[in-house]
Amino acid sequence: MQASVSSLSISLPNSTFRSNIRFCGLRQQALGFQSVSQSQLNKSQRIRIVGRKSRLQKRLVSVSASDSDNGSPTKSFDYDLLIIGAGVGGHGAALHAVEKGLKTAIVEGDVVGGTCVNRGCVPSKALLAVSGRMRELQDEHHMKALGLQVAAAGYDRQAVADHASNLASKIRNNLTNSMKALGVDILTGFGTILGPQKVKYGKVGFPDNVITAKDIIIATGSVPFVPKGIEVDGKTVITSDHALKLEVVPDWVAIVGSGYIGLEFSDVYTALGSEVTFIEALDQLMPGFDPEIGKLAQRVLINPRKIDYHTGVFATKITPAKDGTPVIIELTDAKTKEPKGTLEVDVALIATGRAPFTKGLGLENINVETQRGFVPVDERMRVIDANRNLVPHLYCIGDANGKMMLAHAASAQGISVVEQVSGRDHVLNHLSIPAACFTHPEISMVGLTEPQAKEKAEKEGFEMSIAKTSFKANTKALAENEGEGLAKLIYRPDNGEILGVHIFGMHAADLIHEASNAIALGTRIQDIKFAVHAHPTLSEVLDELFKSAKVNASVTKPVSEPVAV
Amino acid sequence: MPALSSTMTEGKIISWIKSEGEKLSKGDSVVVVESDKADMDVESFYDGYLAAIMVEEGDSAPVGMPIALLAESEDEIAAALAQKSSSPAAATTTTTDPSPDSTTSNETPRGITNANISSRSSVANGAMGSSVHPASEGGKRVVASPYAKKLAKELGVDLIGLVGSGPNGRIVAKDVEVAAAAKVSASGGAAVASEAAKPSTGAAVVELGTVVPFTTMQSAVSRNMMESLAVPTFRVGYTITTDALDTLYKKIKSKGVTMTAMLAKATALALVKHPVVNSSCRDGKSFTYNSSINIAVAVAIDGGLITPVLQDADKIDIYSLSRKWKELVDKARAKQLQPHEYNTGTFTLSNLGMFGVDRFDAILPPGTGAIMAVGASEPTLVGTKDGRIGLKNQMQVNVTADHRVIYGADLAAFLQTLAKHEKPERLVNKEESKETCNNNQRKNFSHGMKVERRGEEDDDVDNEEEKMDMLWEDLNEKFSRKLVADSDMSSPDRDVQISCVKTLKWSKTNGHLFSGKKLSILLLMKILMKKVFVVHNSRSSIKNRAW
Repeated sequence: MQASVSSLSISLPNSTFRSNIRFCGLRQQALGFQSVSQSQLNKSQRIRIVGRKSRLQKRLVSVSASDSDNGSPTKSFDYDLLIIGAGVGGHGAALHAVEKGLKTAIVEGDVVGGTCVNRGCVPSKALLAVSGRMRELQDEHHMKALGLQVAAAGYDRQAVADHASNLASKIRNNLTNSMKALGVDILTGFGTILGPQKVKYGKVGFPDNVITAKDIIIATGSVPFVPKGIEVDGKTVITSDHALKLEVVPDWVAIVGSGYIGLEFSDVYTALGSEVTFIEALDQLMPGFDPEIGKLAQRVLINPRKIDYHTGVFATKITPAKDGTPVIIELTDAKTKEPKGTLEVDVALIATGRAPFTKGLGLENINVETQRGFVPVDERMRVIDANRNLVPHLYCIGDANGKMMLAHAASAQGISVVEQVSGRDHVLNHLSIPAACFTHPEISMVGLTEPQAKEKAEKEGFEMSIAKTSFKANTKALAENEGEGLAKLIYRPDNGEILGVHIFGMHAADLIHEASNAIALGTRIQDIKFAVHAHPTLSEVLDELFKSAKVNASVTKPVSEPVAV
Repeated sequence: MPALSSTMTEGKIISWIKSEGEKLSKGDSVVVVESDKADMDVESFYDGYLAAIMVEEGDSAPVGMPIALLAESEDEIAAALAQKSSSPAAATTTTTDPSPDSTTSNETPRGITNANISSRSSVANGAMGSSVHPASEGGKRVVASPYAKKLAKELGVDLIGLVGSGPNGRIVAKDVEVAAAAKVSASGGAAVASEAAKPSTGAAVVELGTVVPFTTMQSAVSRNMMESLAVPTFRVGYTITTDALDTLYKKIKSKGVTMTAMLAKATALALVKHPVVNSSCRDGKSFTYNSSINIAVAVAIDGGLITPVLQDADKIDIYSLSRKWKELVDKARAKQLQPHEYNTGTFTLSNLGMFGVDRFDAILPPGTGAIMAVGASEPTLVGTKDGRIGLKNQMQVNVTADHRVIYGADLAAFLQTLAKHEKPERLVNKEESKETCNNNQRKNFSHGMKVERRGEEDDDVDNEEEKMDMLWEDLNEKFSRKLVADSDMSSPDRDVQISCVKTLKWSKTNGHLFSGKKLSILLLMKILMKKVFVVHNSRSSIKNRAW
C-alpha cells in the first residue's frame, strides 16, 4: 500500500508534461494487458488477484518498476480506464473501451445495471407491456372492430410484479455476463476519488482498496428527486423505485410530475384499474414535449382515461397515510404561493425528476464543485473544476452530468469519452439523441421542439417549416385499428436539414430512429425522401413525412456541423 | 358555445380571433375553440359586430352557453355591453340560446377541489354536507376520485351532497353511477305518490311559446329514459283484491300507517319469496341478486321526480316503515335526501291510484330489475267461484321487468304471492306493534267466538282462517326473533325452541283439517302461546310484556 501511494504521489508533478509521453506509455501498457487477457492462465490469475487487493498492489508496483527499467515513463496504472458506476452508461463505455483495447475496470456499489436496468426503463417496460395488453383486452370497442371476442380481462398483481423483477434480473445478468466475458473487472463497493487518477473503493465495513487508472469516468447516475416537504415512506408515498415493485395497485394514486416517468406510470396504473390525479407545477401537462404533440397526447392519454390533473401547483407537503387517514397532499399555487387546497389519495407517486447521485464521490479532493449536485462538464464530458479549468483524465457521463438524463445518452457519452481517451477526438451531437415515452400509444422525439426551432430560426435568421402526417393515412396502422397518431417534422426548407421530429402513435419509439440517424449523419430531407420503405409498414408514416416536406432542392448547402449541448 | 362534435359537452376558448367591437361578416372566423377532439375555428353565421365577449380566453363553457354577444349595428354595441353586465341571459342578440341557469352556474368560482364539477347554486346552498370524509371539512369540500368527477360531469350528477362509499367516505365512480340511476328511477315511474308535492306554482306560470332547457335533474331523466330503451322489458298485469288490506288500513291508519308503507311492505314480503324479481342485470351477462330488499317509491317533487328508498322494507315493521316514509318525503321536498336515500332501490313502486288512475305502465329504471305500477283500488263487481256476484275492492298492478333476468313465470309467481296477501295482517309485526297485535288478537278471538255461534258463511270462515294464520305467524315470528336474540344460549335450549316452533308450524297446517273445531284450536293456540312465553320469559328474564 505504502509503495503504491508513493508511486502515485510521484505521478502528480509529471502530469504537467503528460501529453506525448503518456500517450506512448498508454499504448505499451494497453498492448501488454491485451496479451495478458488472451492468455487463459494469466486471466485466472488476475481474477484471483482482484480478490485480494493488497497482493495486486504489490505486484503492480513491481510491474511498474520493471516498466521503468525498460525506459518507459515511471507512471503506470492499475487500469487504463476506470468507470465508477455500472449502469447503462458505464456498461456502454466499458464495452467500447475493451473494443478499443483498454484495460478496463468498473466500480459498482449497488447492483450492475444501475437505475435503468433495476429501477427504471427495464422493469417499467415490463409493466407497460402488461398495461398495453390489458388496455387492448379491455377495449371492447376495439376488439369488436377487429372481430374478436374476449372474456373479461383480469390480472394477478404479483405475477405482473414478478414479470418486471424477472426481466430486471435477466437483463442485469446479461449485462454482467457481457462485461465478464470481455474481461472487464467488476469491483464491488462505492468508489471515491482520492486524487487525480486515483480512486478508492470498498464496501461498508470492509477495508478500502485503492487503485489507479489513467482515465476515470464518473457514471454514478441519479436517484429519484424528492422535493422538500414530501415524506417518502415507501408504501403510500413512493418514488419510481418503489412503484416498479408494484406492491399495491391503489384505487387512487396522485402522480406528482407529468414528465416521462409520471406519464408511463399513469399508463400502467390506469390500465390496472387505478384512478390517477396529476399534479404538475407548470401550466401545461407534459411540459417537456413539443406543445402540439403534448396536446394531442393529452387528448388520447389523459382526457379519456380515469385521470384528472391540477396544473400550476406545487405539492408542498405530502404526508403518508397513517392510522386510517389517507395520504394528504397540500397544494400551493406555483405563482402566487397561495394554498390551493388539499388532496387525499391512497398513494402519492413522486415523479418530479431525478437528482444526480454524486455525494461521497470525493469531488472535493480534486477541487470540483457540483452544481445542484451535477458534475460540471464541457462538451467532451471533461470535468470542470471550481476554477473553470478542466480536470485532466476525469470525465463524467450520464445523469450525473445532467446534460440529457437518458440511459442511451449516457451510453453514447461514454462511447464518446472512450473514443477521446483512445486517441480520436469525438463530440457527441446531443440533438441526434432520440427520446421516447412508452405510453400506449408511444411518444418519441429527436432534435428541437417547435418553439425551440422557432427561437433558433429567429436567432440565426433562417426559415423554418413544419410538415405533418397522420397515422390515419397509414395502412398498417389502420390494419391494427390504431389510426390515432401524428408525426411532425421541423426542418429548414432552404437546405433540407432536419431540426426535429416528433411522433405520437403506435410504435413511435421504434419509428424515431430513421429521423435520429438522419440527424446524426447529417442526411438531408431531399436525399432521404428517395429512400424506399417496405409496404405496408408504420415506417411509411416517416416516408410520407419526408416526402411532404417542401425543400428548395436547388440549394445544396452542407448541413450544419453536429451540435453539442 | 357551439357543439363541435357529437360528444362535446363543453368547450374551452383558446383564443378570440376578433376583439370586442370588431365588425364581423358571415363566415369570418371569430374564435378558436378546443373541444374534446380538436381545436377548431368557429365562424360567425351573421353579419354584425362582436359586441361583448362573455367567456374569456382560457375559460371553458358548456355547449349552448352564450360566449359572446353579437350586435347587428354599431349602435347596439353599447346596449349589448349593458346587457352583458346586467342580465346576460336576457340579451336577444346572443349567438346562442341564452339560459340564465347555466350562466350563473358558470360564474360560480371554482376551487381546486371541485374543479370540473358543475355546481348548481340551488343544490349548493342546501345543507347537504354529509360527506363523512375526514378532510371534506364537514361537506364543504367534495372529495371524489378522478373518474367519479369525470363521470359526474358526463352524467350530470352533482357531487355536492353525494355520500361516498369509497375509502374514507370518498366519492367513487360507483356512487355517481348509482346517483345517476336513481335519477332515472325517479323518473322511471313517471308517477306521483300520494305524498307528492302539489304542482309548484312556478310550473303553472310557464311562458307559452318558449323553449325552456332541462334542469340538471330533467336532463338526467331524459338521458336515462333513452338509456332504458336498451333494456328488453315486458309487462305482466294482475288484479288484486284488497278488501282485507283496506280493512287493515282502516284499523291502523290512526297509528300513522300510510298506504304507501303498506304497499311497500307487502311488496317486500312477496319479494322475499321471489328473490329473482329483486335481482337486476348489470352487465348483460349475469344476475345480480341484491342482498337487501329496498323499495323505491316514486315521488313528484318540485320540477322533477325522485325515488326515496325504504331500505330493508321486508325487515322493518310497518310502523317504523311509515315513519321512515314520512321522513323521506319531508326530506325529498326540502331537497335534502342523501344519495343512499334515493339511489339504493332494488325494486320500484309507482302509485297513481290516489288520482283515480286505474291502470298504467311504468318504464323500468336502469340498474333495477322491475318496477310495479299501482292503480287505484276500486269497488268492483266480481263473480265468485260458487256462482254468486259480490262487490270487492280490486286494484290493478302492472309490473315492468327486465326479461334478461326476470321471466314471465317469475313475475306471475311473484304477483300471485303478492295477491295472496289478503291476510295482510302479516304486514304488521315486530316489537313496536306488539300492543296492536295483542288488541287485534283479542278482537279476533271474540269475533271468532261470535262467528262460531252464528255459524256464518264462507267469507267469515275465510276470515277466521286468516286470523288463525295471523296468530300462528305472529307466534312463529316472535319465536324466530327470540331465537336470534337468545343465540348466546346453550345449544340444547335452542334445539328445544326450534323444535317447538316447528311443531307449531305443523300444527297450523293441521288446523285447517279440523275446521269444525276452530274455536278450540284458537283457544289451544292462545294457551300454547301464553305458556311458551311464560317459560321463555322466566328464563331469559326479559322485561315484562303485555301478555
